[in-house]
Amino acid sequence: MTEPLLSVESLDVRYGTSQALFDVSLQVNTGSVTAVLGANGAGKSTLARTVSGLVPAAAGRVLFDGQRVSGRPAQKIRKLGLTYIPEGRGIFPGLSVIDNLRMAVGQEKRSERAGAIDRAITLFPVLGQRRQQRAGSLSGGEQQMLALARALAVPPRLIIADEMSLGLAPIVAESVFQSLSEAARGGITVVLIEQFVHRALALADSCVILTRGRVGWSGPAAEAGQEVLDRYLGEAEQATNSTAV
Amino acid sequence: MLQYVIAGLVLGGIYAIASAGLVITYVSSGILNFSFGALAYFVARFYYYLHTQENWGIIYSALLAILVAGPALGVLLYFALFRHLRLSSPLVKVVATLGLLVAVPAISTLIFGTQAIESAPGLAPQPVRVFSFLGVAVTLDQVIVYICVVATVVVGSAVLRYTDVGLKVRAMVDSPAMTALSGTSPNAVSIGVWAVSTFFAGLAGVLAAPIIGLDPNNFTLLIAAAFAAVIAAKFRSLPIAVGVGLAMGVVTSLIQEYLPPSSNWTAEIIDAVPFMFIAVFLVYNLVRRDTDSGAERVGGALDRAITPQGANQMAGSTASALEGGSLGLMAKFAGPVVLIVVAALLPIIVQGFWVGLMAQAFAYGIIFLSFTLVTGEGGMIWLCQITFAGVGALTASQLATNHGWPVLAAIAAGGLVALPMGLLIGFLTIRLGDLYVALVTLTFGLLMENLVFTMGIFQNLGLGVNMGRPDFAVSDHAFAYLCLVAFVIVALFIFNLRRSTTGLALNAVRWSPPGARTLGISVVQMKIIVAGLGALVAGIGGGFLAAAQTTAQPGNFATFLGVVWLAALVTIGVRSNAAALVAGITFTMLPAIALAYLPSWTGQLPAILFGLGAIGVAKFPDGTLEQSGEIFRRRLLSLANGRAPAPAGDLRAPGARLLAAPATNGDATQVVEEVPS
Repeated sequence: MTEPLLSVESLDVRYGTSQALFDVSLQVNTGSVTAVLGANGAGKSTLARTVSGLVPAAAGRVLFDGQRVSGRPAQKIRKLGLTYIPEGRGIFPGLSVIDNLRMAVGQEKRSERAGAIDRAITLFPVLGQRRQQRAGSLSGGEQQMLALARALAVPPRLIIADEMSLGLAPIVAESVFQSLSEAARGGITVVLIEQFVHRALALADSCVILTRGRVGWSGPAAEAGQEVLDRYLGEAEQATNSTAV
Repeated sequence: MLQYVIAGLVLGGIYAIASAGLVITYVSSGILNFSFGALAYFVARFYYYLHTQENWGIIYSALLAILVAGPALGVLLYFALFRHLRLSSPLVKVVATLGLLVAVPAISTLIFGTQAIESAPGLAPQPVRVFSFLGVAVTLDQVIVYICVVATVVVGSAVLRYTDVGLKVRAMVDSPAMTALSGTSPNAVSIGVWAVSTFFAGLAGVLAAPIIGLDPNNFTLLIAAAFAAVIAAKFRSLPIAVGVGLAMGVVTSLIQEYLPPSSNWTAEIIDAVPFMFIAVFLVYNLVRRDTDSGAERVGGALDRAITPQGANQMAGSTASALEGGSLGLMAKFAGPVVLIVVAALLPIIVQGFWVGLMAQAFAYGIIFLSFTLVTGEGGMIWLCQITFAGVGALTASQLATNHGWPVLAAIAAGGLVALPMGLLIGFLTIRLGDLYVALVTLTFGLLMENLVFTMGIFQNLGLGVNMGRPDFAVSDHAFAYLCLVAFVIVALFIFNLRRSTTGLALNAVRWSPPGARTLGISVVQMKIIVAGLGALVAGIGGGFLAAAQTTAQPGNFATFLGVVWLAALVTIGVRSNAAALVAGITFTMLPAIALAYLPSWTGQLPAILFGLGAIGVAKFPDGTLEQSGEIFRRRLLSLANGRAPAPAGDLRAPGARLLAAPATNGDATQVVEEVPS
């Protein structure tokens, strides 16, 4: 088996006094789609923010393509080809659509930028009609398309997509999933953080379930269905028990 | 008419450049740079040094001062201070930049010497050429200002709109976290923005020097006036800031044409015009309700999610009081009692001149207690405590000297006159963010200083009005003790307030107004209580200070001098009564000792120390006395328990252990109110 593209080893993360992640380890293989699932507050977004360099790790390390990236700033990690689309629209709401795309391709050579922007607009033609519009005034679905266009304009090696379907109409969410699966088929490794469990599992090869900041279960996506049920409901059951006590 | 417009555009142009410099750092890092005037002064002084004292040519002097020294200063300050302030509370940001405002002019005097400068040349060669434009004389200096303004607007908007650098700046203003995720370092952009901002400061300074002279106070006032344009732009819009800056200059100039030139009031009103602008814009924003503290945040939802909440609050906590309990009453009161005994011995130990100073020191202690109330307990930055002190002093001297009131009654009446002002300002600013509160109180102080304190009955031809002392305490010794007794009474009152239900409610409000509201605490009521008490205490303290100095001199209550007071207190500690006394003694004694015994250059050291101390709140929100008091308490506790003292590395601001863990970046303390999923 080849070396994993992303490897998280015994990661601890703290926000001030509260610890959000405890000893989290996982591996993401090149070309795979991994679903990270878990209830609210399980630490999914914290994991993504730490891997992408926005939040420092308290212990443990993150390797991307064999290089240690934990401790590096987010912009350096992005330059290595790891793109994180944060929860709640990964765009600059105050900038125009075209400026959002310009920021996304800013690391490319000058001569290649225009081509990259055109490619992104071909993926989502609606953006072409809204070039000068302020991104914050786009509809939710259009904003997510812009976020994806930003991520795909220069094809990255790994995309971490955090709750991209959140707050979208089902039909729009469907098209977002479509684009992600096309990206995966095109050879981009995808880590999917999702609330639509079944959608995510249909797309994913493997699955990691976080429970209260710990890895509760990980394995092939095909076997995850029952586990998800147990982990989500099991936690609810536990919570009920503890309140009863 | 035309000549007024032309002259007004010069002043307006300087406002415009300064407000542009203020807005760019505000939008990119959430810091309203109160030290902008001091930085402008520093660069202008450096230009004067090169050009006039060292005889460098204009071009080289200007290049080195404006294009090299200015931006370098910005980069230096970014690494030393502003970088750490990004995540601080608005309160800490305001205090730290005020500290810089105090320290920079003193440092510049230390470097360049104390010589008074009569007139400073601008960027035009001397003698300055004069042109005639539509029959109006225009100097080359004025033309240079116009060119600089036009260049700033044209180059600035072109860079921001059309270049990659401009795009990155706009992106960072929108969201630093998203900028990093796009592969651009927000730090690199920030450094650039600060360099450009201090470049503007230097440019404004060098352009303003021929008009206002090389006096740091004039620069501070000039930039305070430029705040009006920044407020009109709601801190965010460059075009509005520049436009309003220009318009303000012209309007100020036109007002001069229409006011009767002979009236005494005219000069006072002209001085106050910029602050009237601030007041108008503040009221406009107030009415429009554009003043919530949300406006003080930087970036978007993602930036807030990854920012530890409640970082570096200058709020302190109840933890030290709780710990005191385990040591017993003895240890709890030991520190303050020892301090008061030492303070009481001081007037006996020292002689003559120094006894009079001790009386002033204790009077300052009383005034500083008003900061302890408003800032320490109430968690609000009020920059007009000195104005309340002035109101108290001027009222008391009028009543005692001109109306024959008994002195103590006059002092109390002075406090009672200040009280409703405090209540009114407290009521008006109640729903405002910290930054707005600081600006409103600063403006109130400047307006009072220019419109009321300048009145003939208070000025008494520049001598100030005599202020007597009570019959039983006429000597310096007796009066020093009277001041100390007054201090102890006020301190005990605050001590009791802190222990009362009201005090607990105040603590809750300071940590989290929304949280306090959910507990059913009336935030409005709490804040108004401390505001009123703060004004009362400051007014009474002002009365005592005037009596200690034997005159009520309005010049001693200049608003920006109050910033030095605040810096002195914050350095020692804004949360403790003892700190107010220590700060009073330090504030009075340090400069006097430097003056009497040390080489003359050391005269700048107190201001530098206080300034740096205020900057230090970014690291130690509770001040140095609390810090060392905490060490002392730990030692005592461990001795009592028969253990070795806790290691020094474990010492943090009180309450750190209860409420916060060490931040991962090592910066002060952090509290997370909610953990993002």
